[in-house]
Amino acid sequence: MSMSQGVVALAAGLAIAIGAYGAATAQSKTAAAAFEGVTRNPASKDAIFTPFILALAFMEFQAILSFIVAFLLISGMGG
Amino acid sequence: MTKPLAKSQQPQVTLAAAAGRACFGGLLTFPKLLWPALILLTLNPDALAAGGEDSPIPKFLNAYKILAYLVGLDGRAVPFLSGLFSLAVLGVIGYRFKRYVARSLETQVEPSGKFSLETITETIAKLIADLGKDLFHRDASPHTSMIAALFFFILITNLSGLCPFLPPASGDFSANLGVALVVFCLYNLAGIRAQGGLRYLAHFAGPKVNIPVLGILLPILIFAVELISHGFRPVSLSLRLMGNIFGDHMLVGVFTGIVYWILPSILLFFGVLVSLVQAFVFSLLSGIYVALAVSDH
Repeated sequence: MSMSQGVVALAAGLAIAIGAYGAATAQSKTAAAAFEGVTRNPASKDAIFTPFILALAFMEFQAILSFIVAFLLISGMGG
Repeated sequence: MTKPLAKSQQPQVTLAAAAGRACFGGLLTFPKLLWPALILLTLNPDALAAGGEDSPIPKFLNAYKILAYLVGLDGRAVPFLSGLFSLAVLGVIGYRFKRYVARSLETQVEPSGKFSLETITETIAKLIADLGKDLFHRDASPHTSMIAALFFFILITNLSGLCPFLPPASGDFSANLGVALVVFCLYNLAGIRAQGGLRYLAHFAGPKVNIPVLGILLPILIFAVELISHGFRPVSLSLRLMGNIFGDHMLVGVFTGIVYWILPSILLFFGVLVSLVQAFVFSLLSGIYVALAVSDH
């Protein structure tokens, strides 16, 4: 593995690591808030469910984007 | 258990039955087509296997690639064949369970506690009916059936990816973009139909501002920003689905490469969760887009 390939591999690893860190932090905050809300008021479960899933999906999208970038970096490295 | 359906609400039988029978016939012949493919495969396994030379993912058989090879298409037909297969499965399941779905939508029965395909179908149908009621403020909006169709198609496509040798169509960007573009055209058409062409276009420019210069400049700016955001909607829909399913598929592949005994089965369980959530998110977002386009504010 040459130097440039190593740098690209490092970049791909950093991309997915930072992306996953951000998404996981945000999702944990959302989940904590949602669970707290539901335990305080169990009747709000149905009302919370859809916005909860939507919010998680939007946060996960950032991690997915960094995954795609990392994958493109890695697959571009071979060719 | 429940009262029989009213005459007007009985499911349409003729066309659905014909389509279901056609799909079922196709499914029966599918394994027959695969036999010669498997024999061919023993002659030249490398040409048909997935995964590259240096790829950490082990080489897996790809049934669609074999089928495409048999029919005389190249590898680009794989997502198409995969989607077609999901449609066929969806047709069979829909034909088999349309009675339960219609009943659960009409009478809103609580599903019986038993764990069966009927119960699952009824639960999902009830979930989607409630969602449609929340979004469109109507009991049986035509958009609700769009959401249901999207949900079931994407769910079946995602779940088919968990079966061995069947890569999912939703792991491919262009296949997802096709579905998302249909949603894009549909919500714009629904908006134009509900509000009229000019009012729908004006809806892009935001609320009216009564300040001398800003009153002209701001709507132009908002219009441009809205156009970009609407244009990016199908891309973000399809990228989200593709990233999730492709990533999950690759994860299972990598772990199968490490050890193929028990470890991948845990990931398959996560795969089921991801499939459900992503199908729900895709159909929910499509429903929200339609609801936003139809509402006038």
